[in-house]
Amino acid sequence: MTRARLLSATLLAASLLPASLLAAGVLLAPRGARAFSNHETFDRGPLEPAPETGQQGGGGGRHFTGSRLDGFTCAVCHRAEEPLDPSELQLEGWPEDYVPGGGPIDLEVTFPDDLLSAAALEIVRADGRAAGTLELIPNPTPADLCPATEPEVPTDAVHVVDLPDDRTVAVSDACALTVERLRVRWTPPPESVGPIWLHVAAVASDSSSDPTGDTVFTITQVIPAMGEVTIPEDLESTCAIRPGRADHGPAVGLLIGLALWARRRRAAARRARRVDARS
Amino acid sequence: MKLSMRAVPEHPSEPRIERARRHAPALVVASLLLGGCVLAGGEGEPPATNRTDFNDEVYPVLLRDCGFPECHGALSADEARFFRVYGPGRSRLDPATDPLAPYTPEEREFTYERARSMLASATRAEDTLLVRKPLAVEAGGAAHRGRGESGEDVYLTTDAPGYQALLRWAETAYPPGAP
Repeated sequence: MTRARLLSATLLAASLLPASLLAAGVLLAPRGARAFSNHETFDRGPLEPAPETGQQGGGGGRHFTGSRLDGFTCAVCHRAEEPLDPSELQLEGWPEDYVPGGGPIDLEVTFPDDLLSAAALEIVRADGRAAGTLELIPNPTPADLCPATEPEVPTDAVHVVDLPDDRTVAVSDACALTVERLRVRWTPPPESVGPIWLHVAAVASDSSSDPTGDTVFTITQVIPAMGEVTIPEDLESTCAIRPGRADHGPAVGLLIGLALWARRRRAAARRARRVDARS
Repeated sequence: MKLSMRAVPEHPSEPRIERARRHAPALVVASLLLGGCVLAGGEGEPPATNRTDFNDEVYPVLLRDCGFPECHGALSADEARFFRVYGPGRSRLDPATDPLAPYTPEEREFTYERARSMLASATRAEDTLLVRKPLAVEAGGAAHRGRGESGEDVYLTTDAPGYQALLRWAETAYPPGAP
């Protein structure tokens, strides 16, 4: 009798196994699509529907490079409890100085291995406008390409986008693990424009639709103005994060005044009591 | 060195409760000042505003500039701010919602009520928290403490289109020139 029950329980478990595996697969699968995997998403307005999918939630022109006119980096959304080592993101080609009207310089941001990554890059002058020009490097290799979708050919993962306020951003799509880098060709401005900032913000994703668990990398490099070796302090501080502090000065002054007033009143009361006691 | 405090005997004619009553006004003023309360102007109730303007102009601006998960989105309970913005591509009111699905009426309503509350306790549109907080101190705004690398001013000048949209909406609650 007991053996028969054991046999029927085993058969029942075996019959439910495929359904259980399917349910577990559904539960463990990433929820929804990755939110900002395509550069066009950054350009669309937050409530502007995508032409084909009707999806909303665009960046409204923000590309989260961390530059002085953009303001924010990818860290406003993405965060990892245990972020990767900063050295996992490599920058090559950024010069220590520039020659106005000089030839183009190739820059390369290499992503961490085996992680779905994307980056945005911007080169600006002190007022936040673009410094020089950015363009794609010709002849992309498989490491620069999103995979082909039949019958189309592979597309370049990196795009150069002109923005309002005379800004230009290079941004890579997070389309596949095969994309290993963001490469872009920078031509310095034809005339001296003072210090020049390079801003890079990148995300190494855990491939979920959730922004948690994603490491954010930021790189800021500066080329001083010609003939200078340091950045003027007032310009440097505009790039820094400045936590605000409420102005409590008047309140503190009034409190000190109240304390002194109360002390004088106590002293006067003590003197009056002494006089009363003597009399 | 040992320090000792000598107890001051109370005067029989001034019991402790009487002294507390005498100092109560000063304590109230002190707590209000340190608490940052607004003493003048405003009833503390969110004012009436133009709802259409919010839907068309302000909600997209708040999504674009404020509603990021690490800023005014859905942080954990101990990190969450009062002012929160929900919608597509940002934090969702229902976390199970597809990240890029169109906004829900509930999300826009929640955001509207929180934004309207940020207009309370003021007498001029320029003085409301919603308008002052994102503006740089150098341009007349209030200090804006964000999180990590996002802790900086949202609008550097009063010419910023986002600032202008917020100001126009705040002026539907506090019309310029009104007493």
